[in-house]
Amino acid sequence: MHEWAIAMSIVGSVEKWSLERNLKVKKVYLSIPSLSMLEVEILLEAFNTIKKESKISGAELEVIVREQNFKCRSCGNVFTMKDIKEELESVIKDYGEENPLHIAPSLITAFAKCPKCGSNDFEVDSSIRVEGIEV
Amino acid sequence: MNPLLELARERLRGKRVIAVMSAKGGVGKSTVASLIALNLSERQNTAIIDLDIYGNSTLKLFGISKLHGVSKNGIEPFKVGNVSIFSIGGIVGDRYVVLTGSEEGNVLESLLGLSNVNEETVIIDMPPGMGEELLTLKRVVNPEVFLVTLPSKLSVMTVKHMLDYLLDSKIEVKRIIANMCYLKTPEGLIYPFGKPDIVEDLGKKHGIRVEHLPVDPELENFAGRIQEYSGVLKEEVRKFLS
Ligand SMILES: Nc1ncnc2c1ncn2[C@@H]1O[C@H](COP(=O)(O)OP(=O)(O)OP(=O)(O)O)[C@@H](O)[C@H]1O
Ligand SMILES: [Mg+2]
Ligand SMILES: [Zn+2]
Repeated sequence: MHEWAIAMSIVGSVEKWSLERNLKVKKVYLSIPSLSMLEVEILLEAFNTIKKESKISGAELEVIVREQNFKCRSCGNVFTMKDIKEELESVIKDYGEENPLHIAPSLITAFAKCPKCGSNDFEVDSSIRVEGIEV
Repeated sequence: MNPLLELARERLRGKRVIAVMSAKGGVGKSTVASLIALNLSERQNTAIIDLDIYGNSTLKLFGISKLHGVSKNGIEPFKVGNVSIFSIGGIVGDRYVVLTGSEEGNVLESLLGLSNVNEETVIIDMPPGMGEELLTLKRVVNPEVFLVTLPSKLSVMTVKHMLDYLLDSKIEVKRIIANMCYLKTPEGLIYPFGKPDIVEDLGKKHGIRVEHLPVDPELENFAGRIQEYSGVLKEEVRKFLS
């Protein structure tokens, strides 16, 4: 649901960027972590609705979903979402759709452990970022 | 480009943001933050954003143990009278939070960016210390600060460094609050840490007003229902707000 708030933030920041430079935006490349379970369809729908009221109404959104490589800071093991499937499933089971990872994917270290050494101390690449703008 | 950071800035733009902070733990930040919000909420709707990811004291003070609702506009607050409360505790529920230093800032940006704040006055309950929370807050907004300390030497020495940083960073320090200064007894006032002269000196040196708050043993009975508290501490906080 908060895909709409995120779309609002993208329109807002890209609009500001374009006004500052007096450039017309054709395309926005948004990169999101797969961990966030953000729905690309909703993001696109929200972006395309919100942009109409903005100065970037001609912009198209492309969403790139980043697969996650977690790196344990304790033992060095690198692992992926597949390796912590059970933990992820139980977060969804316990909290439902609006779960902590959906709202703040960085919280993963509170819910999963390195499969090799059992540490919660691993690196995450969880930010939502605009990676490129085509004008 | 970081859209959540931009959104956080946008949401707080033009609002009065009061950050209650201290370099020292357990000095009464959350208590003072709640009492500021409760006092101000008698005149206008007021929000509290709890940036203490690991403590979530605000929720504990108000006795909230539910999860936040989420709408198209983001995270919806818990409403207690005219106070709207946002906290990571309302996202993870009854569960510990452990984060690497580098992810802390991301969680805080998510909270600040997604909180659907509609109030014109926002109180920020800060965790102790000078870590990521302080930097994230500064990235997002230029707050006015209420700096809390005990009148003890140890606390004042620690808080002095935070004050130096705040002044270096051109952040406005509205008040230094010397909490738990004195206790009223039938025999007169007792100063558990001695007279709060060292706090006064620190304030004088920088031209910042110092407020003295008493110890109120009654407060303990209102843990989990601070919204019902109307004792001396709330009165004293009201005095320095007006
Ligand atoms: N003036 C006071 N009189 C009596 N008790 C107080 C007073 N101020 C704070 N307390 C009590 O002291 C304890 C710590 O207060 P509080 O949690 O507000 O501190 P804090 O600085 O927010 O702590 P933390 O660093 O963990 O965030 C609480 O139990 C609170 O009820
Ligand atoms: Mg606190
Ligand atoms: Zn490991």
